[in-house]
Amino acid sequence: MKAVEDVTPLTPAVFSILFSLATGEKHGYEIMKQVKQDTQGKIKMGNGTLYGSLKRMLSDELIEDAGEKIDQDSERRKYYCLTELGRKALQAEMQRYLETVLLIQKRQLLPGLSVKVVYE
Amino acid sequence: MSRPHQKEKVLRLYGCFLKCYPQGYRQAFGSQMLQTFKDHYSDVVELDESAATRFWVAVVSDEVRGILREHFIALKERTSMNTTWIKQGLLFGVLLGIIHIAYDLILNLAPANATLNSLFNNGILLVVLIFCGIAGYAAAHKTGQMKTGTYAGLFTGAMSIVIGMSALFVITFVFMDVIRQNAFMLYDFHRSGLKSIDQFIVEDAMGAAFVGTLFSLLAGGIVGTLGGYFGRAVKERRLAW
Repeated sequence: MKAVEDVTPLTPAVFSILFSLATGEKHGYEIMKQVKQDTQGKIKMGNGTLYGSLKRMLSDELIEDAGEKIDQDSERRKYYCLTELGRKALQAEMQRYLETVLLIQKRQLLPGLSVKVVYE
Repeated sequence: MSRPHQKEKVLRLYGCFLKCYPQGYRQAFGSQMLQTFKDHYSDVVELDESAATRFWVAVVSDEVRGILREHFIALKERTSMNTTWIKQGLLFGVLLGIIHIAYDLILNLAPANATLNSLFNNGILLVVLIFCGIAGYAAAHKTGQMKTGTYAGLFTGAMSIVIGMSALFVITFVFMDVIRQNAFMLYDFHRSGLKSIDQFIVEDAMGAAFVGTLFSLLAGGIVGTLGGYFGRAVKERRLAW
């Protein structure tokens, strides 16, 4: 089984897909829409990029097939969900982002930035 | 043009893009990609026809990049797969070839001994089977593909036979004087009815080369495939675990 260190740091596309799946299983088009929404349209993932990334993420064991479902429009769609490794990799990457934000604040690289993190 | 008719045309057009992807990729993701494209098209173009140009520019540029990337990856995987079975075949083939040389030397130059001869003859057959099997197992375990086991086994057999038979002919011609004195060779020569012992020795070597080649290739193919089957099974079980 792969370790988090084997799959991190993540590429922006892989991070966005993992981030979109963090709230639950989704099919391809739902992932595409969620990524667009999460990045305020800055990342528009086309089909080729999306499925190329999904293929690699499946082989890296970051995500897994959650089965096929028939949706309200009677179309059959395949769903994907995070694996344990995918969840850990996402957490590790978010932690890295957070540490960077705190460093930016500490060094006052973005004037006016104010972040307070409370660990429970 | 009616909407359903136009959509059908658009999906056929997108299907042409899908046909450009490598076969394995298309089988795994083709229908999902078509479904996602259909959803995307309905959401963007059917709601706002003025967005069609932008939509198609984005689709074409993304698909062209995707197709090129997937072909490059498939090529890299094929190259790595080929390198694996060639490496295993070369390693085990050379080792087996060295054992063949030792076998040729002992059998042709050592004093005749029926028990030892039979032991060496059976031993070499067993060693060929084991080496081809291990080569097949190792290749398939690395790639996860049974056919690389078959290729590795075949290559091991072919490689070893090239080394072994070359050595046999060199030994035959260099040590002709010693081989002429071999008790088994003399016995077989008298039974053969040939007039020249040198001719008999060369024909005997050619016979051995023919049988050895046939056996090595057959064993390489069959045992390499079996090894490949186990190598792939072990890899799959390990991944599942």
